[in-house]
Amino acid sequence: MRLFQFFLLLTIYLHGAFAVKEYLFKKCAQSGFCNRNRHFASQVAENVDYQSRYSIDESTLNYIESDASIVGDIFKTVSDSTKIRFPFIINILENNNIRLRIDEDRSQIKLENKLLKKERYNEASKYAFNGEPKSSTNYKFNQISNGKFSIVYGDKNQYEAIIYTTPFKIVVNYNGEEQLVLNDRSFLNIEHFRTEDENDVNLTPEESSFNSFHDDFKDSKDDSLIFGPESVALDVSFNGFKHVYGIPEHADTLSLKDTSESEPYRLYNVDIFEYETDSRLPMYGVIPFMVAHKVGLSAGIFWVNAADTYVDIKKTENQVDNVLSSKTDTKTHWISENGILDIVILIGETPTDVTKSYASLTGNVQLPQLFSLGYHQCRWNYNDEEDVLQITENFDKYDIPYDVIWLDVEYTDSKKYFTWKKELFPDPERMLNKLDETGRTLVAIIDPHLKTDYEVSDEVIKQDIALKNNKGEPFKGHCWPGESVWFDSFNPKSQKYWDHLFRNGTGLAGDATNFHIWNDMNEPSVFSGPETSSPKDLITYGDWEIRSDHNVYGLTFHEATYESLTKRFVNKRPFILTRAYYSGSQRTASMWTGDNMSKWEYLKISLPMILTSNVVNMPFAGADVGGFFGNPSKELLTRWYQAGIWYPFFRAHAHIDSRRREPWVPGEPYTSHIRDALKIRYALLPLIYTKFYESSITGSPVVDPLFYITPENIKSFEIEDEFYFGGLLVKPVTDEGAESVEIYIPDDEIHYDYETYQTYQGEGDHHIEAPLGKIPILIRGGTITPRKDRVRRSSKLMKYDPYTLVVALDSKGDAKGTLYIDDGETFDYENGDYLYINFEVSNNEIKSNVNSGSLNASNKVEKIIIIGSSTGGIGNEATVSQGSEWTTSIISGENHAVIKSPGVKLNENWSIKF
Amino acid sequence: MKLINNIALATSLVSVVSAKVIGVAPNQQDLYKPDADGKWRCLGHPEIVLDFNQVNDDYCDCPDGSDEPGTSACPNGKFYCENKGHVPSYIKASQVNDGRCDYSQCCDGSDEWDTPVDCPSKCDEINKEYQKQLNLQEQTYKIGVEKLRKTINAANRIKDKLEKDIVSRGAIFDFLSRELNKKRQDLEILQAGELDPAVVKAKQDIKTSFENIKTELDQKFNSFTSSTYNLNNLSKILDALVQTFNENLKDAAVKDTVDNYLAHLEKYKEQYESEKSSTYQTFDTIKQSITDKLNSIDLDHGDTSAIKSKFDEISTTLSENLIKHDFINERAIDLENLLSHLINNYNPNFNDPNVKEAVNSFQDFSVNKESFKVPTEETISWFKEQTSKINELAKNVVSSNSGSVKPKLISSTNGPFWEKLKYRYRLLVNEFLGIESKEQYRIQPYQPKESKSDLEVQVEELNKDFNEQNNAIKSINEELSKNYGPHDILRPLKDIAIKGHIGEYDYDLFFTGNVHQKGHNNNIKIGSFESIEVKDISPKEHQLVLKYTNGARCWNGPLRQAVVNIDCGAENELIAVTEPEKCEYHFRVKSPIGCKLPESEEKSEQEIKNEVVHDEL
Repeated sequence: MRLFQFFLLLTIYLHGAFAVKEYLFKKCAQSGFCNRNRHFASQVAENVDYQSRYSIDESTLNYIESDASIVGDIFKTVSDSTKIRFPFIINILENNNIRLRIDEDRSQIKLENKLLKKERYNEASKYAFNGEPKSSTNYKFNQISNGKFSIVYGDKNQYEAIIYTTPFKIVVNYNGEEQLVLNDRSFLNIEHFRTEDENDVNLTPEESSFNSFHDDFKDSKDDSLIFGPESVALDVSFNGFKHVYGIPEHADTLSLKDTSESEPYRLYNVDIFEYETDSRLPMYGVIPFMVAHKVGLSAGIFWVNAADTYVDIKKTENQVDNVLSSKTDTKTHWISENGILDIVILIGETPTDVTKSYASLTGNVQLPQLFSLGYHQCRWNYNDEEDVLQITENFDKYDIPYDVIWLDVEYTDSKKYFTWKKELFPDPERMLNKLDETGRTLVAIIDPHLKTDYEVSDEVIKQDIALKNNKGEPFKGHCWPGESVWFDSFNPKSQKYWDHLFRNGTGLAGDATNFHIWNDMNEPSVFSGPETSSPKDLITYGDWEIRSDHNVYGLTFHEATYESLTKRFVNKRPFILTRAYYSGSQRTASMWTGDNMSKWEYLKISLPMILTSNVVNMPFAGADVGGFFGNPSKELLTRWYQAGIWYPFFRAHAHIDSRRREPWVPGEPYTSHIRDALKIRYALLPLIYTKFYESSITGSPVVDPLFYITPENIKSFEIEDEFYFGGLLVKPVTDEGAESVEIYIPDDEIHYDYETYQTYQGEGDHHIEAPLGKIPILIRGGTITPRKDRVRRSSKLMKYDPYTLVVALDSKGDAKGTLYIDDGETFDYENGDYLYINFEVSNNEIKSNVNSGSLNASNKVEKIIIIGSSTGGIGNEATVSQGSEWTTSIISGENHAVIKSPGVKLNENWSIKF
Repeated sequence: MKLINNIALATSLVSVVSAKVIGVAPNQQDLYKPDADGKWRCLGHPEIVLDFNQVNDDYCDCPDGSDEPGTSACPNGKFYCENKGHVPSYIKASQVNDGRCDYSQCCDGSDEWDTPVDCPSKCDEINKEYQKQLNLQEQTYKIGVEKLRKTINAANRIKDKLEKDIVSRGAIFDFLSRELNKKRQDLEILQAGELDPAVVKAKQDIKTSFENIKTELDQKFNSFTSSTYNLNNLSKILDALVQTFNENLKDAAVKDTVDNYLAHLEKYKEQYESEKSSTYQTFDTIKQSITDKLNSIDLDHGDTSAIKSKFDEISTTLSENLIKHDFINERAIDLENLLSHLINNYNPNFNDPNVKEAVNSFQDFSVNKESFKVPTEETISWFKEQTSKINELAKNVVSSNSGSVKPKLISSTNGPFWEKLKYRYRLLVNEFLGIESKEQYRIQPYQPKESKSDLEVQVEELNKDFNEQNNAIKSINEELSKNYGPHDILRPLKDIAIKGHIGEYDYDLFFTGNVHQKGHNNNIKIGSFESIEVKDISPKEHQLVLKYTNGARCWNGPLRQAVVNIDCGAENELIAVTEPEKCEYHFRVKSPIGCKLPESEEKSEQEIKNEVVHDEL
């Protein structure tokens, strides 16, 4: 009997799926500062008469007209005898953003520890912002009266921030309506410095002292917590906003969930293997930027803090004005472990405006090299040079385009970065040259952990550019290579050594320029550390605890790599993939969603995750096609490729224990379906490159959630399984066995099937057959999509190919589009060596106008495909004019017509009448 | 290389001859001529009529791509490279004018005629290399085929030997069969009515029961040994884990497993230590002693009390060992629980190779192990029941014996009489075979009148030899009927293995035996030889496809199996191993046996065989 029970048990064990190791990660209740602030919030919320202890001393106010800022002091009344001073500053920034910073006056405190600065960390913005933000020029101060003062700003004075002094509260109005309120619920809480002995007199009745000076979480017991409790927290209410988005990285829905009954969203860069979907647990990257949207208005909050952070979201429904309609408010509660309070409020008429406004602050995405928008083939691991070249040969053999092959950690000698395992890769430069023959690129992994006892880690210790433990010695922990030290990329001095390691002419990659870098494990991932990351009391450059700047560590690391590669390449754009990221990472790196699994739910969740990434201006994003852990079924693999071609960053990856699954492995018909999907990706590279160019100039998303296109349509606010890529509305199939999809068209604009040009029109669901070979794609009327239809082995080999323009007419017969062209790899575009072209169609005439740039592109236009029901009336000849006039033929077809080889030069304006 | 501007329109009667259409082979140029109206039809779609100047105008008009032989406009196009100084070839349209000199197909660089890229011809040097490769291939083939011939000869020799063996064994078989029949008939006559049928039956029953007990006990002890083996395997996995796991990776599951294993060792310390002591008797030793004890029981003539006491002794030993076995199972279950916890909870992202090894070993162990459960009570009562039955029967036999005058003369199988008898039988057989006795002297032929016991011995001996021959003939026939591929090529390779190291593993591939994957302290059977097929590639080349099935079961998957593709090579060489489907391995192998004989030799196979036979004579 016992034996039988055991076997039953064993069977259950053996079939049990891998799941995240929850015990490794702190829940809010286990996290000192989160627990304390949730406790505080619940105490405050229960007491209807509660009055916030924070108020502005009006006598300290100072209006600095010249710099669009106001400074002063906030005091926290702990008791009649104890008042704590918090200097604050409010800035009105360009793009009508308003920033509030509250610091703690720690000048009087005595800190025994000489290794650390005693001030609160205030440098998150230094890394997040793209330079010092510019001040607004459209603002007006209304000085203090009746316990409040205000700032009116915006070109039409449409914005007003009203600051109440006692208690402290900020209300932001737009067009006279209250939109955002800070400290609405009196959750503002800044735990001021105190020693453990003095804690009692510094603690208010509504506060808890849970884990204030010691951490009893299993893996965090050694945390020295030198500063004791020092969290910063604030509540922000969005009035009438039912939906909020952003604050990645979480494997969760696009529209964020109410967390009152569950875990808050946690923002802490961690290596969370086998993460679960529908989860608020932290992941590899953090962008503490939230977008709220309602019909007519969008708003954003940028919580500029790099420490461990939790965000609670509560949605409350209110009756409005005694009318039957109700409105939902979203109330948020931001809790960070330490640092100053630094928040930027952004309001715009559309979500795109808010995203762009955030981009103006943190910088736009770097225009990537064209190759990096092609297909990336990765696996842990391609074993040796022969394997790498064999994979490349197979792509050509099976006529499948691909641009980049990747090498995971196994290429190194004993996981010592900057070395190669010589018996497997005897001559890396030879391999790189061979890859270059067909325009292929290699990306190799370089992580921040450096195995102890080899020349690189020795040098890092010698040069004093390693992360330090709380005693000021180089920190030693465990990661892939075993015992390691961590590169301190906060240290400006570290750049020089990093440059040295990446310089040309070494055994790393010779002088190759088709060699780029993958920065992984930069959360940092420390296998021996608490929550698989660094102990929080490590010391980074500048005498800060990593507790304060943990979430920007990953960014400093990939930025260092970027900087080194720009020096190595002289005039080529570096490509870097990072796993950990922070606001600002978009300027130098692409990201992916880390170690997902070969299951349908992970394919499904990848779409909202990538859309979220686009909402928060980290558009160069992707998920591992096929799923990292496990073995996908052939159907799942095929559907994943069909979805993956729409990831801005398109890479297949697999765990070392999973079987090979390159596109030819599943065989027919799967291989052909995958090839077809890849051909769509490659044909659309001109569109994708143009979208990236535009994002790099304006900060707009590359892939748009539906509500970015139809911000007035409430029904589109929660849709996360569809998106627009330029003028293409796509709904990838993410259900096993599905043969069709219901695609939602968010307005009455006409749409056409991508292949058949069949018409779909009318807001609402439309049925599309989607057998395994079909990707549901519709072309939105009124758009022009540039393509290169000749499929080559790699994107570089498409350089001389002609363009095809796909003109999808709207119901008025009009359409618009853009095309960006440059050399695809250098910085010469910054000097004008590019073409940015506007296309416009109306009244049966297509006009091409060079918007900017002066590249002498030799590419021809091969075809102009005009789609629309009115194309039936088009004749068989078109008149082209560019300097002189000539005619070219038109071939008509079902619902479309094709203008053949118009013979125009792209770098000059032209027009064609048809 | 610039396009020879093709303006050979029909209206111009002069220049038609010299104009070559780019991307078209000389013998196809005729297909690219305008008709009298200056029109041209798609080659595969004559219904589509184009102006001749639409040929190679960089716009694809023909669905078959025939209008764009020289450009990349049609996705399905082919571009002809003249490759002067080397072999002409075609290149895919998608490789034309893509900015890359595709020298491997187009050594003259003519594929890049419309891009700024300069591709000077490399045909001379490529041809040199090509010739070198050809020579090398030829040499490889020569060596390979020479070895192949030797293997074929060996195969023929073995087959021949087997066939001869069958002939001679057939004759012995016939002889033995005749003799056996004769003796049996004689014996039957003598036996008729001699003994009390009840006693005969009782003796028969005793014999049967006794054999049953022996077999059953044997099986039970084998189960005990297998359980011990299971426990040892589990202990080995955990011992290795405890010694090698990386303590710095804070993997709670690993830590739990290690702690619990150490607690387990402490809990069962006594048992583990006793098993390690020099006086500890393994189940196999005990089994042997029981077998000896059983064999020493004289059922026919021993006294029943002696039989009973021996059975009692055995019974005690059995129950002791049943308990011992229970303890072993208990420990094994405990260890399986530990390892199950580990595989379900360990952190694969830490990639500690030692943890992974433990996990893999356990997964392999658990899908391939057999569990042995021997219920104590039932077994003991079964044994008692069986032995008391024998005791009862033995009483009957003994009582009937006591009334009999039959001497104990024949009870010993070692007496000189038996020796003589056997010797005489041997002579009989040898005489038939024409084998001279090697012995220096001959005992005078001993010719007693054949008694019953004489005949019994002869029948027994004859029967033994008869079965032996019968089985031998069967197995030779089986061997001969096996498909060993063309020319029986695998027949001589019975004990030949290809060994190689690929990735993390060592592989042993016995051509007609098993394929094993070794590494991480594991030796996993991938499969046993199942079949061979020949896949023709060209008149001069073929590939052998060998299948191996029935390997060890995979974790959450089927039994492992392998397909081995063998191409021509000078040596046996393992080139690659992949696992395209779960637990389905593909091996690429080079071997002389993958070479194809020149066609002229294929036909004369029979002659070769004859030659071999001749050689041996």
